[in-house]
Amino acid sequence: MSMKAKILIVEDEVPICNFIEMTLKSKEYGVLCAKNGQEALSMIPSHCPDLVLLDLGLPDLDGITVLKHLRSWTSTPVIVVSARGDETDKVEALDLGADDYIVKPFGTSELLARIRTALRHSTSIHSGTTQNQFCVKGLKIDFPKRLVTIDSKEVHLTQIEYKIVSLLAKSAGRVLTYDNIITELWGPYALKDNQILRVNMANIRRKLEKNPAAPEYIFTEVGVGYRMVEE
Amino acid sequence: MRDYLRQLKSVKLSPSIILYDLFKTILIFLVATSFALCVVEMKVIIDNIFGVYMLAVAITSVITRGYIWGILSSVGGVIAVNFFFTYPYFAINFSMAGYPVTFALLLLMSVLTSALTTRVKKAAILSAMRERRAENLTKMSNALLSANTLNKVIEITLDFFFQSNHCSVVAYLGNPENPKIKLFQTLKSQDELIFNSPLELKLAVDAFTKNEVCGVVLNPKVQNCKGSYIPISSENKVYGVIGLLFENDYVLLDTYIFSEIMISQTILALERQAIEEKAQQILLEKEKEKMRSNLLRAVSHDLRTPLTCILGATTTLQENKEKINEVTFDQLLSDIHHDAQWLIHMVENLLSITKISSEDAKVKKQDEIVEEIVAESVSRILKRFPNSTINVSVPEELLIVPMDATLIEQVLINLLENAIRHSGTSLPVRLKVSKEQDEAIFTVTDYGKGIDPTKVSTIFEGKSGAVSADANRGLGIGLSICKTIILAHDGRIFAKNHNCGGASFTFVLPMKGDLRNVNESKNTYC
Repeated sequence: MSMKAKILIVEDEVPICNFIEMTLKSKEYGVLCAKNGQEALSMIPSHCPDLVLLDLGLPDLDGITVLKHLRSWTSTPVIVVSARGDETDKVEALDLGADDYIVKPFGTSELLARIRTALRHSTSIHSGTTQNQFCVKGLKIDFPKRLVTIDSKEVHLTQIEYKIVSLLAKSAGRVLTYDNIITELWGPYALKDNQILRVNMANIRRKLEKNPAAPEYIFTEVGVGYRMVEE
Repeated sequence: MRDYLRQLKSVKLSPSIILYDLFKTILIFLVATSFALCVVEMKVIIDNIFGVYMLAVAITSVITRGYIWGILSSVGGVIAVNFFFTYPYFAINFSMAGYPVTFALLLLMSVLTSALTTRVKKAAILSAMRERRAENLTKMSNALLSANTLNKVIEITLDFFFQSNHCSVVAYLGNPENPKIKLFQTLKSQDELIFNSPLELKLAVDAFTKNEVCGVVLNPKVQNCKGSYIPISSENKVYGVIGLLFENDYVLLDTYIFSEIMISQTILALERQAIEEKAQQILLEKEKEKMRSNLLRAVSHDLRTPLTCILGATTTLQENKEKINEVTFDQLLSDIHHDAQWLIHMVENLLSITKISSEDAKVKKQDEIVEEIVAESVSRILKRFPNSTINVSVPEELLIVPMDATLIEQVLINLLENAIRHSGTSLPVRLKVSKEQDEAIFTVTDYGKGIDPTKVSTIFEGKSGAVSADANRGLGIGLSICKTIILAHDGRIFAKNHNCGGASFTFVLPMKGDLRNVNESKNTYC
């Protein structure tokens, strides 16, 4: 790897900004800092960062507003940083096009993992490569054959269950909100009733996981959506 | 109320009773006449044949209702004597001397006998009725004494009205337009429809708003109504309305007077209920206040300790940079890390409490899939304690429980953290979810040293009763928060030491929703 990605941190708390900056620099990422929303919006066009770490609680502009502005002209990956308990904020940000979210307080390893995932997805979208296979631990999905195996044993999924699993697998490592998945599966006019999706997901868990209460492959982000493990 | 009730005293008699009485009168008259004829024929008595008819009149008065039959019978007697037994035989002749006197005497006597017997009969009926009612009243007040909910009070009242009046009854608590409680007890099923008709409902509402008796009792013909509505009211407060619907559309005055007495019993019970509820409320307030102050005390202690550690460690690192060796350096850093993490956990706990509405201590519930909540709690606790093992088991059946997900997660995290930190062992912790009837049961079991038996009963009270405060810090707050959260979910939580050594904490959440609806709507998608 010759050139590490450039990351913009939008965060008003200086200590947090410092610690993230230090962490990222130690991993040889290029780091920029913006203290408020306005600054961020003016910096993004001029510096063209590869990824934006956006805190939702900013002093001037609401993080959601910044995200809306951003998404109106660029698809630069955005990871939203929020405080725990603001489920609605998180979901809104994700539905508005944020790539992922991370909850304060977070560990550095978690942050780095999220950044890696987001960067990888953005490059794979730009390069237009599509995988034919998804492998993680014992789970293997063969997209052209629509075949799902666990430890080389075939798993029988219904049509809808396969769609959900493949959808999650294609964005493995990223959280997909309930609305995201419902729109993808049943179209934009489907009822936004996540109960149906959750029952389907419960059935999937019973087929894929050894213990549905200690999942290995698909994790629930309560109140937000689902995330497929990546590695 | 009683003034117009008096007007109702007249009792409508049904035609069947009149016919029956007529039949009895004629029969007695015929028997008396034939007896008299026989006696005269056998020449036993000749002069005083009136005596036979006097007896007949007396008997008629006793066994019929009202005065009329006695009078008729005496008139008949006079005519019969005149016809059969006085010269000229078999012809009417009232011109005999002294006849009007005989006639008047016979009439007077029949009236007197009738009046006497009627009064005796009435008194007997009345006393029997009163006795029955007094008995009913005692039963009712006894029953009301044992009633412990408003619903039960109304139910008992309804039951006794039904029993003692033999009529259909409706009871409303609160304004009948929009009652808190509405109960029926009907003789016929269509009576319920009558009670629910707009006209009758309006009367009930009138009775409630005007605090006076409405319906049949006021003006049965004009209003074209069927029921009578009596407000359940003490001097200045109307609690509700009792509606009565009698089979024959007529009502006895006595029924109303008695209703008043019964209603006063009901009011007593209602007022007692209200006082009890108030007392309960005050107790709840007190409990809440106690919990709050306990929490504050625990928090101020439990937050100060780690903050002191962090402050101390950082100061040491700043001031003695050169003197510290690497081991101490790492030790101090890991202390800071540990304390900070603990503070985060504490703050999350405190935050969760703010989610519980302070007014009624309830939470907003949503249907959640239990295994998702369990999985997230376990993964979060494993992030903090990567070296511990948690064995999780959930039933094969999909459990959906209405709850506030973040709060129940908090409870699970607190219980798991206690099991890991305070059990004094590294044996795996068990988390088991099961279903029993309409309840989901969550149990966290450890195989450590267990709970101090003297503290089992008070472990949720928020007192961090540890010997060395620091060793057990957080235990108090965490568990008292768990209890608050579970109570806000209408659930139960309890702790005990199990046989294999170690503690087990169990909480139970009510499950109301079932999966049927979900599966049905699912089919439309698949």
